[in-house]
Amino acid sequence: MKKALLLIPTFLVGFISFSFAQTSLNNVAGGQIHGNFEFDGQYYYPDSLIGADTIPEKALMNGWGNINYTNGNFSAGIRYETYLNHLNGFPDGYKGTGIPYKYATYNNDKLEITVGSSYEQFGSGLILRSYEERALGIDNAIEGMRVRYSPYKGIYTKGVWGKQRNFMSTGAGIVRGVDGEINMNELFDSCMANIKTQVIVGGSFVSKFQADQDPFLVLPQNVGAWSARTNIIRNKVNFSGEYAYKINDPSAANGFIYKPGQALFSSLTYSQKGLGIYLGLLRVDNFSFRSDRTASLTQLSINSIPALTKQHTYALAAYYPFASQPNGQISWQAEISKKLKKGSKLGGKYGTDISINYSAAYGLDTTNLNDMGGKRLGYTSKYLSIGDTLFYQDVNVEIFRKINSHLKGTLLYGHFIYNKNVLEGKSNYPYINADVVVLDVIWKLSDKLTLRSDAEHLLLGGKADNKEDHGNWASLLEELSIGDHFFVAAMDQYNYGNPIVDHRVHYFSVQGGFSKGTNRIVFGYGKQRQGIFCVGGVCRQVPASNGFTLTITSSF
Amino acid sequence: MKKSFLFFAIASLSIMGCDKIELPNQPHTVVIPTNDTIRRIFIEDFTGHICQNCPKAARKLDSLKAAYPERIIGMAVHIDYFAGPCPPNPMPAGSIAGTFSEDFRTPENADYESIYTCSNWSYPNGLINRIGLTPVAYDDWPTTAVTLLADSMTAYIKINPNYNSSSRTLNVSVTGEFLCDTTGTYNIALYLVENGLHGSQVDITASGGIDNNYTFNEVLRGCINSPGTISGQQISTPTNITGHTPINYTSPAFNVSANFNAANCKIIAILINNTDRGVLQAAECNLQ
Repeated sequence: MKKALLLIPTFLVGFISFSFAQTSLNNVAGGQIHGNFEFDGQYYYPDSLIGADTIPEKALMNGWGNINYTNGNFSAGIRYETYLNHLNGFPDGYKGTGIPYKYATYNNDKLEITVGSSYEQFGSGLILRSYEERALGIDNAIEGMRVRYSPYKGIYTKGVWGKQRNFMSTGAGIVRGVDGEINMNELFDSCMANIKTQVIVGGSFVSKFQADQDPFLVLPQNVGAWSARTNIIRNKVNFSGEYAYKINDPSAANGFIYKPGQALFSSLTYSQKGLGIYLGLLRVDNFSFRSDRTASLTQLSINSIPALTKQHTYALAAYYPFASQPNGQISWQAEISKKLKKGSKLGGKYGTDISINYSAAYGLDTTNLNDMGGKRLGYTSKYLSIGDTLFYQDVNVEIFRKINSHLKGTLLYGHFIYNKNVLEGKSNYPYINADVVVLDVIWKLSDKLTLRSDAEHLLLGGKADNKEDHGNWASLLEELSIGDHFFVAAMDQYNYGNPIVDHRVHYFSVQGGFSKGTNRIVFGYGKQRQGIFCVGGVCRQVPASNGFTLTITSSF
Repeated sequence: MKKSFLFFAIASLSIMGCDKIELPNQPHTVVIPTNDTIRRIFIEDFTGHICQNCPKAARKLDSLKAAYPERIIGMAVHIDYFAGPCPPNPMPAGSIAGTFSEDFRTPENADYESIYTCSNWSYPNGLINRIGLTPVAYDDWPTTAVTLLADSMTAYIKINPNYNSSSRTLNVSVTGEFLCDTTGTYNIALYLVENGLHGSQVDITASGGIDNNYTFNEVLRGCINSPGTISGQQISTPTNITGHTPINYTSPAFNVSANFNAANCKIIAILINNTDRGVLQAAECNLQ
């Protein structure tokens, strides 16, 4: 333990020296080099009470650094990644060190060609979205070629062809896709210049190839998916919609059924000063699309199904998050954001922001065909009908108000219904009903000191039935910012309602951080509860842990 | 213009990328039961009654079979010095006169020796799917077996026994189907094994180091279709075997010795690739 602590300052000094020496690299051979680095390390103590495992290495780390060079129309870069060994709970595929991301791009006369790794999204991502979400361990960059070309004003095309990144290597399948988008107002600017309505239409096609070596099934080696979309904007109203279709794509994710997949995603927004309205609808039917039909979890997804729920940032409000269900869901979301005027009776001296959000996700209304010995279509679903199974529901109200020049705060109330059987693959759990209240106050004590207090409470309804879940929680965070460079924080999450009395544990943690320029160093110690961590409807399980953490980030 | 052509070329190639499947299930020349679509692993446990660690290997095999029901097929090959009766072998220390007289060795042992030079091995040891010529230490059986179990099934075989208990004549046919495209020649080997044999066994874990009422299971009694060798007989296959090439094999008649308890006997069949002697698939069934 002492040795581990001694290593930390040694590493810090070396890293900071390097970080501050980087600025001289920015001008190289007529071009510029930029980059950023991150180191995340943790020293673990086993804690059987909270389920924190013994880590044989005692300390684990994730680290990476992007180095990009640009010179006129040319750019190239690499990302060096190192996992020695990866942080507990991170996907096991991330092992060792390597340069899994590298690219070179040349842009000339509206034609951009990239060789190597690239991220891309067609439309809303229903049939192709390659992206990186480091916190979840998702990186499905396409390694091959990407071309973007605008042959005429208002016409935008792009194509990708390659293999997807699969942790430190690439997956078995090959992905090929094209996308085209036409901005009518730009294309026909002579006759549509004065028209207030903007119309954008687009379409995509993506095909994947994976050899069929299955002895029992005739598997489609080439699986194609297409989509059509539109975006209509007039004054304060913005409508967008995309429909996608995928031919038979038997995979481990859908139980090797040959039913075609469909997805529909549409949204309508209205915004004016002081008022915003959002309505969203999503229907997904058998639309898991991966470049390896045996892949699971977050691995090798070609597309991305969005989650039509509010992404909560407060710890207990995010305790029961929604994970998007690509095999089948129908979900919707509505949100009204209103700013109450300054000086009004309700708005107060500085005005008040109120946001009301409702979202729900249900299963599809399906009928089992029992045809696995025949066409293996699996089931049929009624397009306009909603299934009986509620996956998730969230109703929340968030109020932000500035009280005076020193004090402002946010009050959040949310009611959640969470289907643990569907969202976590459990069985025989009753629905979880949870009420969460958050009060987040930021108090400017002086020119140099700002105190943030975040008090949260989670109350499980029907808790007598939820013996296998974790009961009620209370959480308090105090964070003091000192000047522009330092902060210290302490947090306690207390699981006071755990049905098992011995598990009524305080998850206490402290953090201290320093930032200057583009460098930031955060050191912490504490207990982390086991839970589900989600970003954009994609989730992974985070194990409990107890120990010291160190995070260093820098960019140049 | 060239750039537009590039895009149209990419688009055209992508649009071709769709395979619509109307009949998903592979046609098979035999009916493969839905519960029999798994690869089975064949483990030959080289053992002997004066091998003090051999019971540990037998228990390891039992635990593997329990962990992967229906997926592991074991066969105990009593071989070499450790399997010889005492006397003429020296009696193990602490043994009682008259014990260790059993001899489960078979004429097939000579073939094992000629192919694998088993007399150079330490015991216990084993072959898993006859991969290579060197044995797998029993502690490594689970790792090796689990790795092989993850491979897809490349052939299906089913044993159809016809045993006449009066004449003690056994006729066996094996039916099945290749499930992959391949070439080369293939053999079917059929073995008779017997469970529930009792005798003495040196056992490092037993009180006094000897178990005089040890139960020997899955003891190789002989090769049914090529007595004296372990290679079996070649089956008739075309030069280019496809994913649906049938397997139809009938063995010569075999006389089950009166010394064997037919009620405790099983038949094991393995499909062998003659190129590398590796086992593609294994099956087992009761003699009667």
